[in-house]
Amino acid sequence: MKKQPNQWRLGKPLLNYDLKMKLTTLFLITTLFGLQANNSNGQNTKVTLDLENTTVREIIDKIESSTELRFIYKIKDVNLERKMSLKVESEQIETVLNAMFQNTITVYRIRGKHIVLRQGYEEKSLLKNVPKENSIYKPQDQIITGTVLDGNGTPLPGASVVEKGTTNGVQTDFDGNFSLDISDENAILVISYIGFATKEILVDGQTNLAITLNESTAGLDEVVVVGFGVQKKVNLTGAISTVTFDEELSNRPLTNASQALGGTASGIWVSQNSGQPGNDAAQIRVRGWGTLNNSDPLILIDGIEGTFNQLNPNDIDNISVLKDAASAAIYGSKASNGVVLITTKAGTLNEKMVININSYVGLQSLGERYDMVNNSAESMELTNLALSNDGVGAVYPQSTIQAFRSGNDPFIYPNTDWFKTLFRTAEIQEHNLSIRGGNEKTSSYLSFNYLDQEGIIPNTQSQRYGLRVNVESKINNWLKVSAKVNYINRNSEEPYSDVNRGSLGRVYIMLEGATPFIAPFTSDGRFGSVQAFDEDGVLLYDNRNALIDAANGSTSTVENTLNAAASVDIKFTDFLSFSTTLSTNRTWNLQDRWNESLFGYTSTGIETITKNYNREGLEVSRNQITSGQDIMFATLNFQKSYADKHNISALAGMQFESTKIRNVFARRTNPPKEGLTQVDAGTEGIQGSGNFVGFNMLSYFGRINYSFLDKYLVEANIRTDGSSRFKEGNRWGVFPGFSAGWRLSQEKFIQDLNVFTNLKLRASWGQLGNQNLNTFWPYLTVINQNNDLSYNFNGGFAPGAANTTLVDEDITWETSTTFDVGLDIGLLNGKVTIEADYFKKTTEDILVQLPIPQLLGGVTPPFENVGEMVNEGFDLVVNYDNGKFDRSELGFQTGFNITYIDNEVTKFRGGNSPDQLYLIREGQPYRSLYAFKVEGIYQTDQEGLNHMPNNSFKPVAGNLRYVDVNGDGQLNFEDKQVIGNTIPELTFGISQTFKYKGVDLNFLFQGLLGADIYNQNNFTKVAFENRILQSRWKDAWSPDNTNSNLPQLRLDNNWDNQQSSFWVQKLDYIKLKNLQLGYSFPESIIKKIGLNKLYLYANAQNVFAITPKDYDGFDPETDTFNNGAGVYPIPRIISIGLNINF
Amino acid sequence: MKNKLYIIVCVAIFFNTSCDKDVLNVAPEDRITTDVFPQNEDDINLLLNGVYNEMHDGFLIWDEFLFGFGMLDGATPNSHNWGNTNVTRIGNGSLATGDSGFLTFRWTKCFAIINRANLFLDAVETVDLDDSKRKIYKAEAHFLRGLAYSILADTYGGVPLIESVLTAQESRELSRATLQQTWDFVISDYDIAINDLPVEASEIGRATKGAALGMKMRAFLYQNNYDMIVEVVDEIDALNKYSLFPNYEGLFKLENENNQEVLFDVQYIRGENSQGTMHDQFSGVGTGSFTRGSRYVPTQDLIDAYETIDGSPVDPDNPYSNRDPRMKFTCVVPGDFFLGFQFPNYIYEGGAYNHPGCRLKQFSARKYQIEPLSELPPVGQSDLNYIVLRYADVLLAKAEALIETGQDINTAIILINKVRTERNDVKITPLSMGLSQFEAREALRHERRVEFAFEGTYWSDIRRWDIGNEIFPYEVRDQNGDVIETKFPNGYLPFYNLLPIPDGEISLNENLTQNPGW
Repeated sequence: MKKQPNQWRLGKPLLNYDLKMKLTTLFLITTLFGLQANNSNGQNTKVTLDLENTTVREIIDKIESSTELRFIYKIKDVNLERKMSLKVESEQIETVLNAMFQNTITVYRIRGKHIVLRQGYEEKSLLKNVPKENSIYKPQDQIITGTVLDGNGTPLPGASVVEKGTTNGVQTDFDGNFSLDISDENAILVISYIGFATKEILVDGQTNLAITLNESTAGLDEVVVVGFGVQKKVNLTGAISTVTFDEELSNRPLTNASQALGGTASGIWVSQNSGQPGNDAAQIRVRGWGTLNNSDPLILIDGIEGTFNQLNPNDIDNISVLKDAASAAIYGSKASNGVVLITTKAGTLNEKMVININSYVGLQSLGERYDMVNNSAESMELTNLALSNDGVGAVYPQSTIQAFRSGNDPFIYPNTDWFKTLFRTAEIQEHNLSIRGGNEKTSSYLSFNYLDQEGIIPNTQSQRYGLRVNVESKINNWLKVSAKVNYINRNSEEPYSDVNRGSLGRVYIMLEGATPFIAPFTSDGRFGSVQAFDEDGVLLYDNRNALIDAANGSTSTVENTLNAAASVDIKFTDFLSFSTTLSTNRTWNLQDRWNESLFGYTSTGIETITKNYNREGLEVSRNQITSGQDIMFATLNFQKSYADKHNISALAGMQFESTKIRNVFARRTNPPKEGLTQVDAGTEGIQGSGNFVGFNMLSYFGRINYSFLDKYLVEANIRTDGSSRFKEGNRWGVFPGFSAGWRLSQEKFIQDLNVFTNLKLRASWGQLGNQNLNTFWPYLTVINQNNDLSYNFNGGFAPGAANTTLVDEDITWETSTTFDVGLDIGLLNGKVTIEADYFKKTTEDILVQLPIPQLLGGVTPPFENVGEMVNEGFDLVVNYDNGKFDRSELGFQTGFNITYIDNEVTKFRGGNSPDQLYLIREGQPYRSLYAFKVEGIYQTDQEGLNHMPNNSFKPVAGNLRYVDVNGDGQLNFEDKQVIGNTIPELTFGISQTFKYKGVDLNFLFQGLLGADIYNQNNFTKVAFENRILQSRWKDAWSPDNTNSNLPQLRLDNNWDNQQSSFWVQKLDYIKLKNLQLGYSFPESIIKKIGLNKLYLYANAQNVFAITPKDYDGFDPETDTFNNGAGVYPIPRIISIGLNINF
Repeated sequence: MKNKLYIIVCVAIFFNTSCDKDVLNVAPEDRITTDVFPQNEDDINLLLNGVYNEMHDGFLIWDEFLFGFGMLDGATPNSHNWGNTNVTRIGNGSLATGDSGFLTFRWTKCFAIINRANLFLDAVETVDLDDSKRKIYKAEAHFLRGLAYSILADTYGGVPLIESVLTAQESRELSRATLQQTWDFVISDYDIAINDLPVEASEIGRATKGAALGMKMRAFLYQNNYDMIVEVVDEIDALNKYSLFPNYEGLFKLENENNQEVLFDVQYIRGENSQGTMHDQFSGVGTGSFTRGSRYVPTQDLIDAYETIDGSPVDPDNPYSNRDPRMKFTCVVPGDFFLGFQFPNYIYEGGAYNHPGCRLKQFSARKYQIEPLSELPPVGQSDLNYIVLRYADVLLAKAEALIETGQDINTAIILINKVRTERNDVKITPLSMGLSQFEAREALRHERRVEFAFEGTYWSDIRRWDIGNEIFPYEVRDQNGDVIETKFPNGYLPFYNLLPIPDGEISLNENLTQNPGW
């Protein structure tokens, strides 16, 4: 039976989905309008009840069903199962509540139509035994009143205020107010509240105090975002790292939110590999490379798959990274490389409207760079020397060299430093405005963001406008709706990108050949050219003036991103709720390219072009990529506790996802006149293309948590995913996860030690799948039919087809199994927190394209489930926070995190895999560097002959001497060995904050150990085609300088240029990633001008790096698989900014 | 009650999306899958064209070519290929077994033809087709497969013989056939083609009986199997189709493509369909404000090889006059006009010049270059066909066979003289009759070199004549007399006559053995 591949497009599901979307939208609109419902005061509500021996819960239900009043409470604050009798006839609600809660620990407050129930004073052990009389009747008492607020100005009810050294104390009321009699006007008040740092205040004769408590990061009530929900951190059983976007982060000039993760969270390695404006997303690795395929973690923004590029960093509230399989199992097949959960900011109910403005301006410049010979005469002499070392005649006549040596006209005899010439100091500025707040029913967060970044390469820049609206509305006590809309518009500009070299490729290639004797400009301001001529006036090198290619035409990209999500939460009962989200993530990416004829000129007026400049002629093109991902998921949530001991929560859900990507491209060449930049202007070379790819996924998942006495915690997850990437029958994968925790600190014997504020042992095991291949139909044998497979007969086109890809139809999921055991420790009253994890992740059935012989004619190898890899290691985070937040005290926070990973490919292909530089071989770390090992330099020709008698080429004096592993007197693939490691073994971050009298100083170091890069590139090589030279070559081997470890200077020496340890560079580094000095103006001053907060800061990013002595190159924060060239170096940024809150 | 209703609604939503398993059926909409292909003759033609397609060049400056016009002459004293490419290394003894470029590209290209042909030979049996047509289609595939194997045999020696569609695992286990087995395989493929192909193809560019005979002749020539050659040449002549084109210069011009001298060529056309080459971009001479690759340029040694028209010594004051006209049809020499500019510009201000990266500035290549300037194709659209085999080769192969077998040297001289005198634009002093076998051999070898300079054949000739140690080392010098490259500075050794099997192939397949010496 023939399949009918198009049938699915007409099928029901998508239509259903659309319909559902529409219904939900309608539903949302209706409910949003419903928010306007009246808001009368509940105080006057009258209640009639006649109940015998009824539970509090039922009484509440009755009141809710018979009035508009709604109760808000935490289950633990109210004993709902207490039974009582109540008989009232049209009584004021207040009277009823008094009757209900007299002599209990529950207190109430009526706010509008809400009745808030809270736990009263009685249980606070601190105050339990305070005989109030003792203080009340003391003589010379002074009454202090005040308000306790949180950082957002929200009152903190129930905070304890105690006179230090006494038992005298009270708790704040619902408005955060307190009143306390003290005996000593110099008393110190200790204010504490769970989840906040304790504060001490010197009364010093004041009678009315406004006290702001800062949230404590070490708080035990801290909540962590987990898959499809939140969980108290103390109850976590998985390995999760969190990053909260606090002041330090929000003030850093982050052009991409991914940069925030770098150095701040354990187990996560972030490397910003490009400094290109608008294209600066970093590579993120959670516990290393987990597969031979795409190792990027799954990034979820408010539960919806997305990318860091689609996010304004200022909108982030916090990030959780799910590192172990049990935590991530709920995300199943996409989660095998870890999950990054980003939660954006939201308003809270009953929160005062707060406006926040954060602005900075900064300057970017090129940091570390290669050390090149920038003296023209010296450069030419070295090239001549290199030629003569090969017995080849000089290319630069002595007269030319002499002229450069004595000449001083920079236009005629330039000595150009091309790093200084090409790279500029570029501006960056960002402004962010956000408004958040909420009333009793609706809370909202709104932000507007503008980022304007020039690139340090001329003609590169990017502007980003971001708008986000997060609204959440509680319709009634069982229905909550929320909507999140994020729109990003990014306009990026760069020079015309050549079809062969790609984005900025030509600028890099020119820079990699830009010799000092090329003048950037002529004396009359035109682009300059090579200034080296021979006696006949012939140019001795082709022009590589990189400024010309950086000025050529334009590639402008407009990217519009719209993320919209609507959620509905329905609470059926106290313990059962339903939640569903419909979302769409759409991007429209439009790219326009055009080029122009630009020439360079020698001082003598010769017109030159740069190498292969505009080889395609003048062309104009436009490319549009439209992609959309629609996701719908729904969960049913259960949570209940039994007998105050057993807490059970459970979740069941399903998800459907559909991705479609379409592109269209149009291009013409030869516009009749330069400067016409629309495709229509072209007259020839018409090209067009357009295609579609897509895939769907369907998933079901579930989770059960059980905890006993909050001491023993167990969790189980399961997810099953179906992917259209596999053949029917192989589509579904099942991924379970289990974890357990033991909160030792809840045990009597630990509490008796009085050492630990928190102590928890946890362990997890789980399995995850991966199907994230770069291809959409890896199981289908397709016959490609395109122009590149065609021929021509009779002078006309004859379409051709071929099978260019091998396929294994039976491929299915690759599976990773992770075991994790961790220990969480809190010491010194929570000032010290430690989290340590050991993990072992085994990835099996890795979908990999095994190298195949070219005997098959260069076809693409099939994806097969063959590889296996183990990542074993540990994470450690130690944080210290001295808990001092008051201006008068020295606040001190230190964070240290480290991750060690031992990676090994445990199964690949039987026997030896081929001799590739980035080796994948059983028993070796993934992508080990594999090449010849240098053991010295031949001092004589005879030594070369003796050592390599059987080699086709006989190395000579000054050539590198490689280890002849098999001793056969010749050099071939059998002599290669592992000579380096591209996956960092140890990555670490160190952060430090000092605060005193409003001044704060933060710094962040990050670094790695145990990684190497292969750095043979046009900067490091000595080549005729790219005649630039690193300064190190001045110390190359020569008969007079036999101690050098650099081979003799020779152009394009095939022997020395072979892949070997000579080209391997140790990358170990520690780098000051960020340094910030800020000042927060005292409240006493800014309150007068109506501000809550005024903060000024200066920030430096990518400040310096400590690298091995012989390191030469750009900033070491780089892709370890890159050879160190052809990259947009990440800039050093110095900025100043301010942060206003009112 | 209300709650229960919600639960029912929600659970219903929850499960309804999941019922239809078809949501996971997504298929590509731009490509053909094997379950619906091939169905008819059109599909068969698609596949066959895909085999022909593999003869097209790739990115020339990275040595990505099967034939590559004159690029291969860089492996000989004919030309200097600057830029340290793979071919340059082949030509100066610095090639390593792990190199890529030409070494792996030619290997891969040949096997691509072979595998595509094998797939085609399977597929052609599965569709409804007139048997006579099927026969011709199959013969074309056999011709192309034979051609690929002949190149492999000439370049690498004996290679694995593949006659059916190969799996990845099989490709890791195959071992090499002997050189003789490989050549025999070539001949048997050619014999099928000769038997079934028509003399006139249905479309220009398709393989013909003459093409197959010609390539069979070359296969014997490259084996130095002289006994068979005369017989094959007689079969070619019996077709009464091929003769010398009267104009040597015009042989390599667009307007004369597919002329009576061409037995087989690789077809190229201009336009946006990716059917052209990079040749004009990479091999040409720079003019005015643009540079072109000048990737291969003639050496003094090649210039010296051209005789004077009348056999007199070269006039040192006018070295480029009175020379075999083929010199100026093949090379740009000082004073020549090219694309309207005079060459080279160190003599003529504002004139044409080689790429600045090329240190050999006094000569440049002209054969296969498109002129005039207004006719230059856009990049990648160079439309000149590459002639794989032309009738002059048939004449000279027969002459060589006659000389080497010592049968009839005078007949051989007559054949050589046809090439020297029968064209309108090439008329140089004929060789005299009565040469010794040694003299005739030298004359024949000389004639082949100049006749086919920059056509990629000299490299094969050097190796099959085994004359490397006579012509190397050779020092390439620039116009000032400075050495810029030494070809085989340490002398030529016999093992250079075959390229190594690429390292990557051997490391993937332990049954593959390396050629001795490498």
